[in-house]
Amino acid sequence: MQGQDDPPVLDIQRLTCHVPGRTLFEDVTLSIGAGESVAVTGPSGSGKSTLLMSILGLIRPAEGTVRVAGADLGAMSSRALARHRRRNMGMVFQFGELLPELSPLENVALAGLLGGMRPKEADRRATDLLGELGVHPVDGPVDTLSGGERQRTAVARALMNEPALLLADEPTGSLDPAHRHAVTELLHTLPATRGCALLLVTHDEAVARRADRRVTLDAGRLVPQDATATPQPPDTSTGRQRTAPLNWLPGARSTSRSRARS
Amino acid sequence: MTTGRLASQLWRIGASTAHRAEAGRIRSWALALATALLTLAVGGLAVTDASFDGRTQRTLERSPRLTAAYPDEPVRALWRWDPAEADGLAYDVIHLEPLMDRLTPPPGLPRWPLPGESFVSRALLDASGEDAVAAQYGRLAGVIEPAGLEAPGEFLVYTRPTAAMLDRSVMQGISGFGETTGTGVLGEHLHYFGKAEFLAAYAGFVLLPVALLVAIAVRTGATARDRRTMLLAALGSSRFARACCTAGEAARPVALGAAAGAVATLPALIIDVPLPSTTFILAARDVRAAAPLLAGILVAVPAAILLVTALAQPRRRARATRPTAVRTRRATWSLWLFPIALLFTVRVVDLAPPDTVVVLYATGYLLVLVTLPSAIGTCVSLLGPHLATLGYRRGAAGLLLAGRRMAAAPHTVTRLVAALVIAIGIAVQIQVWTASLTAAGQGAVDSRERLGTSVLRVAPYAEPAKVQAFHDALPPEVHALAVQVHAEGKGQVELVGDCPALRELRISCNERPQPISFATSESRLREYLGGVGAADGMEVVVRSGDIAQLAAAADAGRELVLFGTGGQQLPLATLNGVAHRHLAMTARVDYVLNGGGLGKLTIAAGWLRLLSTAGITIVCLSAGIGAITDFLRFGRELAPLSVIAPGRRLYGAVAGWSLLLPAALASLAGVGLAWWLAAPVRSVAPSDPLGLASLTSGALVCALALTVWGAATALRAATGWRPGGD
Repeated sequence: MQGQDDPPVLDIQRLTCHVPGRTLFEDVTLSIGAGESVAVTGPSGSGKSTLLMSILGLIRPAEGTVRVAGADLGAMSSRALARHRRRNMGMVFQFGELLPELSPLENVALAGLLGGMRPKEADRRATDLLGELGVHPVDGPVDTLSGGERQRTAVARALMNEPALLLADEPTGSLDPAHRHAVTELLHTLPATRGCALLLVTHDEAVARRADRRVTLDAGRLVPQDATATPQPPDTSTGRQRTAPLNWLPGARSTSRSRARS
Repeated sequence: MTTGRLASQLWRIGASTAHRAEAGRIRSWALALATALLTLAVGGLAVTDASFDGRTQRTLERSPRLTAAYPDEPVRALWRWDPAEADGLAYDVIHLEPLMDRLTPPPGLPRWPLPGESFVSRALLDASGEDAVAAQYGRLAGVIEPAGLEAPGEFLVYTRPTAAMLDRSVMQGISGFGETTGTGVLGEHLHYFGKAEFLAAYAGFVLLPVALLVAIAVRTGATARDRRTMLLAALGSSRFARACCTAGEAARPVALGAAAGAVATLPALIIDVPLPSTTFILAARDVRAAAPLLAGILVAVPAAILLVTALAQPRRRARATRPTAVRTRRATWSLWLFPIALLFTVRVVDLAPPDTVVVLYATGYLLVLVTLPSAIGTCVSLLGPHLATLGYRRGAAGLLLAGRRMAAAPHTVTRLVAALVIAIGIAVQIQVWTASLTAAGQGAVDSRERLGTSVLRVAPYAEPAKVQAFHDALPPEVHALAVQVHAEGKGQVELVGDCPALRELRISCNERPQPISFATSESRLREYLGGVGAADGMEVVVRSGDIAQLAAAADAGRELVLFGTGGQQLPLATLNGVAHRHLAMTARVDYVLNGGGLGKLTIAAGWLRLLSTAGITIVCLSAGIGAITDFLRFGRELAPLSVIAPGRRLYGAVAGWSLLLPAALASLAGVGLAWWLAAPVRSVAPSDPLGLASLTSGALVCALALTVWGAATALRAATGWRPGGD
């Protein structure tokens, strides 16, 4: 169970990002604790994916800070950022983005190998993950799988290095209703079963409704839906970042662990 | 919207996508390079034509109008041609004697030379030195102007004998200079490729590889472009409109390439350009003569490339948008055809009838080269899964990825390996064939290396007074013998000389003819006797006597042979000059074994080396561009994984396993294979093993550069990738 004093897994403070000609979003503040899921919705072009890229450290924001597992990404060198991302973040893309020549097992195990796992451990863990997520073992290339299986393989790959924060960018966007439902179920059980924080970007109301919290990125602002509080700027006067307003928890989440690896 | 406006808009859209499209930057560079090289290659054709025409024109202008051929014209001067040699290259010496005043001199000469004077080309002066040339042909009156030379690098001498040495009987009457038909009776072109032979080699070694590069450049990054073209088709655009979009994308790099080709051609329009590996200097005046044609090429080549770019579009719609592993049908026929072709090529020399050996050998070699890429591809695709399994078990992510890519898309590695092996195969063949070309004159080369100028032959043997004058004019350390070779029966060589000369050759001084043994004779004499055929069993007799009094005999040839005291090297140019001044105006002092066509073969080998180097470079470049384009796609495929588990080393590892290892193995195996296949040619022409070492090293350096480039390209592609889907 996450205690009141446990630092959030993801802590975004006053994040601002510009694209040529306009401000994509500004003063975005958001915190997510371990075992919690948050869905970000919003119209196309509102900057949802850019927000994910900022969290991954792939783009540097104009202003604001992004802290993942207690560490400020903006203060890191590219090498340290890569290491931090490998240890603490997992990502599920809209189209899976698996390597087509590799088998599902190899796709998943590869993430572990690149993360420094021993070959046997990577093989065992990848096999277990695929089994848990219901992907049948096949020796052939991954493109022989159905869309749902591919996406579950992508989830397994994202979980391979036991991330504290799992990001998902339209993970059900390319799936038919049956597969969409299965993948939604799977993703939303992960915070509870694995203790990770989940940030999910989606257009799909049904998928978003399953999250613990929902926020909408619209006109450059992050607005909580049916929230009891509105986002507030951090209280810099105390030297402690305020996360409470957005760190709205509908209920305490039990977690299998509290992770704040740096 | 009117068709014109739509086309213009699509052109602009295409232009704006040039760098943003998949592999856009590589394609732009490849297109620019291909256009530049095609401009230069086609321009080279025009320049070749102009050069041959210009040289023919100039040699016709200086050709003598022989009164024997034009009996109606008066004899105004006497003319004679003799061959000479410098640095192993044959050249022409023209003896002149004007018979009337105010006669127009040959082209390139400001006036007729005075008796004992000579005009010499700048290239010969630079190669031999002014002193040596003056010593050989008399006082230097001036340099032959470019108008009188076929090409700026031509060796040529106009000389006028002294009154004492003038021999009208050996000269022909001419009415002046200037022929209108034919190819001329003398000149540098006689020592070079003919036009047809040159164009055949040029087409094979330069035009074909450049065409290959153009084809690869046009289709680089084709997947994304084809998808866009199909989208435009689905939206109802006409073929013309789609072509506008595609051509617009290629327009800028093509224009850049054409401009680069033009800039590269410019110096040749202004200055004479020496071509590397050959002795040929391209005359700027010939290039200028082709300027209108070059200007046309500058427009036609880019237009043709744009047309090809627009036409090289798919006819069918792409079937899938999902990323799929590329799978090619495995052609196993090559696995059994390749070894058969290999064995056939190696054994054909021993088994085939002699008159068909060359054709069968060339056919077999070609068959090996044709089946090799497919055989390599099959092996690569069979090997890939094993490498992947090994990589998975050992935790080597690079090996795992490389293995799976080899299995799924063997064409990437195949193309690279095949290009390398073919390039090496061509290079080895060129090496052994050029060695065999020069092997014909190898005896002369070896003899010259052994003897240098320590023994020299002098011809013709002249009347006694002139021989005596020549003998008297020789430097004191030079000895002369008169030689008569009788052809009757087994043949006989008769040597006559004074006692000091005979003693120099360790022969006792005796006026009575005495036989000597070829085998036990002094080494210089043995070399000389070998040169006149004594080794074939001729009898050799020696006597002391006056070298000027060697009586002529039927069926016998006479000449003089010169030795230096103590085996010293003799001054060839000086002795030539002495011979010209005292023996005969046509006298020639030469090595024991005349190289004859050696220079011509050396020049042919030099051209072959130049053209094949250009061709091999372009083949490798084409393969490199293909490999890099595939690697760019690989970088984009790997990018999402690198977001989750970043690591630069992975790109280096995959590049190492996918490019460096196959290329290194191909280089080593290619050299070995090509060397083995060249055995039949090599058996008649020993080649330089060091050439192979440098060839292998060059291939490995290229492979390493390609690997670094591939890794950097994939990393850049991955770094620039951003998750989409919003």
